[in-house]
Amino acid sequence: VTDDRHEEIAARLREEAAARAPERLRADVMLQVRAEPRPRRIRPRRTHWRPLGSLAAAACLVAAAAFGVTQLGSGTSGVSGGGATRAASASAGAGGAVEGRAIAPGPTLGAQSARAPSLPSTHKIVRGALNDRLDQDATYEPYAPALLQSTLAKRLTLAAPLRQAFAPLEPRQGRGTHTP
Amino acid sequence: VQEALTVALPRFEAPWAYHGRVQIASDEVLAKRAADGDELAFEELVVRYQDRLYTLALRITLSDADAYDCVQEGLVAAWRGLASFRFDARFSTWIHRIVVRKAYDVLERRARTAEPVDEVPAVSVDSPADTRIDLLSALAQLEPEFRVVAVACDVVGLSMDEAAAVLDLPAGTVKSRLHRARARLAEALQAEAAP
Repeated sequence: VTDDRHEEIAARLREEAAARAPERLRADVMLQVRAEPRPRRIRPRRTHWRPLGSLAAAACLVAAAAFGVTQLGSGTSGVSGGGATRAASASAGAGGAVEGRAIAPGPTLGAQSARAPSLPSTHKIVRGALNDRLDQDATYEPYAPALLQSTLAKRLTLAAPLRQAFAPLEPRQGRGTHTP
Repeated sequence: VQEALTVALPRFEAPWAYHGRVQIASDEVLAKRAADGDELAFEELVVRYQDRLYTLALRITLSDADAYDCVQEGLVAAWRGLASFRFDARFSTWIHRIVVRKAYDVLERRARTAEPVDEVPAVSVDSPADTRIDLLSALAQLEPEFRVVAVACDVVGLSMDEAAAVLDLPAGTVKSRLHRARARLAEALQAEAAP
């Protein structure tokens, strides 16, 4: 069968096989359509704000993390200083009785402090907080769980290099050595 | 000068004069208006497509009553589904696809229940009756998978790609089936013409 014959068949199909819809079809369809509830188009969601939103969320997270890191050094030094001062005054007032009950750092914390140069400041936090507690209750038996100690040690290990990196941004850093 | 001044200017109709009247618009514009609940826009689409859809359903199902039901149910289903139609395909492809599925359902139901088709294929166009009957009977004798492709491409006038989308077939399959359908029709007509 040649291509011409194919074209002839196609042309005949186009001309002869077409049918007309019955007259009542349109009326019947529209009767049913009018009986149906009117549709409300579901408009597609605007998606071009979505990448911007995730970008803004990521930027907020980064900014919060940076702010937290900058506050870490100054916050720990301030609190630890206060705690140590209070601990020192308490120990002096109690005649060394409380001093003996103050918890020494555990072996894990001690090992970490040997490696991390800024360990004493956070160490003072723990000791200061415990001594504050001892000031309030003389019968308090302090106990620092091993999990807490390891968590603090990890935090110190991570915080030390970050603190060194952000040292130029630290407002309290180098206040004593500044000369006009 | 006086005559020139008295020539009536073209009448300007205010925009609200067109309210409710469907102007010449694309299928997609009408479909969006119908999706918002505009019944007149949907009626315009029915007028545009009813003959093509009826032809498609009639040549697939080979029954007037079944074709009527397919088109009617398909158009009502389209009205219900327009709200969720995302317009990522052409309206034409979508509406043809709905009716083709309805027609396939009829064929499957017949195959399950061995329902006989006792109606003569409709003849509704002006052409010599004897040759037309020959062609239509030859078309009706084709297997459904070949007949559907021949009807979609040659009778309804869909392009290869659009027929592939409507029938959910690869374009290559549509092309080969169309070629074989035309060849079989030519052979059948040649055999009938021979004494």
